Amino acid sequence: MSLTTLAIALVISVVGTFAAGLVALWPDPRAHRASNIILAVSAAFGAVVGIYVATGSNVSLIVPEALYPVAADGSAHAWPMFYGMVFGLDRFSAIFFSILSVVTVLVAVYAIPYLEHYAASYNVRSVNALTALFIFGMQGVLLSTNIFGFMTFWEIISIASFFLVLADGTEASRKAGFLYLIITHIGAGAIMSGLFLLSGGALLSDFSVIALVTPELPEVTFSIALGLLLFGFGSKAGLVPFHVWLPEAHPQAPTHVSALMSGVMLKIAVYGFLRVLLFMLPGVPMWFVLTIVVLGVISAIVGVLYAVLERDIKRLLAYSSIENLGLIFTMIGVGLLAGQEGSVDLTQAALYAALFLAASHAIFKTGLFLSSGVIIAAVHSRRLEAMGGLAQRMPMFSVAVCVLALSAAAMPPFAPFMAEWTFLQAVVGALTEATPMLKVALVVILAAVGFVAGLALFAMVKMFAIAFLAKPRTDEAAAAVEPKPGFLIPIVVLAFISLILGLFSPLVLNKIGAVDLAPADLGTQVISTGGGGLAPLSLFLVIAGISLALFLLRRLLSDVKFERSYQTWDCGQPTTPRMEYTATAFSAPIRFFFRFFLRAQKVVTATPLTPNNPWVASRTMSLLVSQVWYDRLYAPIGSGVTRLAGLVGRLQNGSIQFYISLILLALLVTLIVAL
Amino acid sequence: MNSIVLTVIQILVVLLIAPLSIGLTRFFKARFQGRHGAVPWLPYLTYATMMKKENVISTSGSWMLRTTPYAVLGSAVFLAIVLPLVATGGALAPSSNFIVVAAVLALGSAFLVMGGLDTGSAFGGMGSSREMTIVSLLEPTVILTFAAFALATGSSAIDGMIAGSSVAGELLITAPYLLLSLLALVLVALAENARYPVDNAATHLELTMVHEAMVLDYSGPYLAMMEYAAALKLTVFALLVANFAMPLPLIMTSSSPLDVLLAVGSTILKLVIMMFAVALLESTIAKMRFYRVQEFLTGAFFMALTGLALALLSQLL
Repeated sequence: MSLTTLAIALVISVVGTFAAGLVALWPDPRAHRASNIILAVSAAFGAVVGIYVATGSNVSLIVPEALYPVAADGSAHAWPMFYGMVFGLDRFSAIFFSILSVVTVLVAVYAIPYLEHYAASYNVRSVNALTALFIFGMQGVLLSTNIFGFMTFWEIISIASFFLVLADGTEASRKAGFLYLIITHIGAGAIMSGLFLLSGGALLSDFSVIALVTPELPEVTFSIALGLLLFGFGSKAGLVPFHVWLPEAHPQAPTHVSALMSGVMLKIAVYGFLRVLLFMLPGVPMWFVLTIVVLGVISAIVGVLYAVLERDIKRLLAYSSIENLGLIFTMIGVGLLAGQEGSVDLTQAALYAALFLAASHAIFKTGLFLSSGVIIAAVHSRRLEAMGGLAQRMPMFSVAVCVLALSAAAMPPFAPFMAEWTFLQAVVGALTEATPMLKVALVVILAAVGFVAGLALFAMVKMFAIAFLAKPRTDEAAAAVEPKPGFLIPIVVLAFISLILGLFSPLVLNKIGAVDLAPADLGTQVISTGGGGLAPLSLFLVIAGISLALFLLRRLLSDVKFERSYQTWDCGQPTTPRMEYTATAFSAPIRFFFRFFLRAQKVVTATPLTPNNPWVASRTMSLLVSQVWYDRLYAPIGSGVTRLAGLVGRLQNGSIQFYISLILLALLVTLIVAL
Repeated sequence: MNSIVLTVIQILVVLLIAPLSIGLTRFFKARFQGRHGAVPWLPYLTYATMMKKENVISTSGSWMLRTTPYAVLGSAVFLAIVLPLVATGGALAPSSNFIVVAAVLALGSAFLVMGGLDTGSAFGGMGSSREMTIVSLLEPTVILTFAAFALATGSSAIDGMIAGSSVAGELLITAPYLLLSLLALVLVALAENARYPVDNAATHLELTMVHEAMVLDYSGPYLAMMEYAAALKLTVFALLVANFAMPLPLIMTSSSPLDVLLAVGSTILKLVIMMFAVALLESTIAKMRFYRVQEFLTGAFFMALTGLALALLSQLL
């Protein structure tokens, strides 16, 4: 494909996304379908361009140049609009653009039946328009090559997603939405200040120009800029302790938007962080690298522990996102650390593992959020304790969710396992040659990642098993049936992509540039790093072969027909769903083992039949899991701000003379400071 | 000898002697307790009988209930094929990367847990919750333990860790600091196989059950598969630990038919020794209360961590 064709397809994709938003506003019931179809088609164009650029060797697509070829006299591309702003896609942003586009196609397909189902609770027109705008903003961030474009589209993402969090208009949504709005804006402010410090205040400064300027910055300015950028991107990516908004805001949005927020928006934060870090900065100080690693590890551990405890399916998935983003940042941090300590192989493996995990997370987390939407539509509750028995009633759907849940738990042969394997294997391989300081860091990280991987399996098994297995716990769950194709197809496709991405991970890694990790001379079937190799496809074939052999042997050695159904034996009593293990009970050991950190408070209240009769009429149990940083960090800041606002309020005494004198005072102070 | 032949010999031997492991521990334990005990090969007859019995499927179960026996047995068979148990350098030995092995082990346990929950009984749920806790908290220990072996031998495939030394068991002589890692591996093996002090394989008492609670509602051929999988896993871990610790021959590509016989004989010897050790351990210590198992897991973790630290320190010498 020529660059011009690619550029046209890219423009179609972006303009189509925006047009989908406009079409959605049309006051006609058909606009809903039309808008989502336009969105899916234009995203499909984007997916083609993204994948082509991401896997092509050194294709770099610069939109004005490709559309307006350079004049013979070298007067360059005449881009008539936007102060000569340039939009483009290089191999790095193309990886994220592919993720965004693929997810968008499936989410748009899913949105059609989903919003029709919830036509009563949401304003379908505005949700569709805002979703398209949200995606348009993410496309823009990926395509921007200067600060102005980047920050403008970043703002579009924040505003559009803020209104989407508010979409159902409940009190909980409003609280979550404003928390999100505040943190995301403080974060955006931090990013903007950080970028301005790097560029010397130039608004339209191109990223490539910043890369030239940064080495000359004074160290203090540079450090402040780094801190601001880490906070800004970290808060958008949901790193602990800036994550409090994430488990509140993600679940409140309509489910397909939750999927986009968790699956893609968090990756946009990763993209922005890596774009600045790898392409603009000449090398970062050690304290910064160690901070990334520490924040990453803490996020992963905190995220996974709360995911294990969580009983609300969407919040569980949100916490799992914090865990995965923590792992991604850990990998990035380790990559940078290894680079500084001279372990080049580990740098490459860790950074590509981070990219691969980011891509896989987008796939499986989108799938899981979409699945949670199907479950919630059937059960009318987000509580795991209200589910159960769905596997019997939705067999196809449950298999797809099982695949996605095992992916999320980084089990072979699915894509996330390949990312984690690459990282762990590279870390183990680097232990021999590493400097003493790196060795200590790597051992700690090895233990931490092992811990997180174990608990991630716990969280995902809990989610799947409590929601899908055994008997239904409510009448709604008992009445569930296999979802409509519009719901089912995107989820099955995502599960399938997770498998394919895993099986062909060496090929994918090779194509996106990790030629040392997945060398072509091994037929790009082996990921090889740190003295170890993994051949996903042959591993899968071995497992499949064993399964087939067992399947046949069972038929050979025993009579398949000789069986009957009977209720689960319970000493002759009928078994009821009340007897089943709940999500709360299932995670009780973890709550107990980590009680020093989680400080869960279980309150059991027994109401006696009458005050002097010890027989118990009813018993209620409530479980309160405290959030350390919320109580110790955010609550004090919040009350401090409120107090300050109270003090400021005293100024507003209604006397106009007083106001004027204040303005005069401010003017005087400004003049004194300025002169 | 062809590497495929090695793998075939290994899988046949391990699959054949697997039920013996359970039979031997029961036999030795009975003798320690002053009972006569059943013959060690009783499990063969038990499994054969179970295969002929009627399969009762719980009405609350779904496809998961039917998938679990295959997944659990499949993961155990995978380990029996790729790990260096009877032979090293087998055709699938490159797949014995320790992270892959740890993951397949966890995958098998995950299905066991889901199968246990699918019956809807509180017993199954309780066993599942406990098993999941043990498995997930054991994960860092498994990684750190094998990382130490990988560091000392320069191979991240478990096959290479064993095959690196000319005689099996030589590793501990050339790298004695691995003793701690080996002890950590033993603790991992005890926890993974539902043995003392984490679980009691011989009881059906709700206070203590982990593994037994999850398989409680299986019957007939499925129960046979689950029990056989447990026996196979025990055999695999016993032979793996023995191969790290005991200087007894393994089959290699250079082996003659006589060596093969010798190696098969020594495999059975290893199994008898290890099962005797398990029985001795189970007859001398008490099972831990479940809520104290974290102490066991923490101990195993720090043992593995110290082992890795020692391996790193020894590199400086």
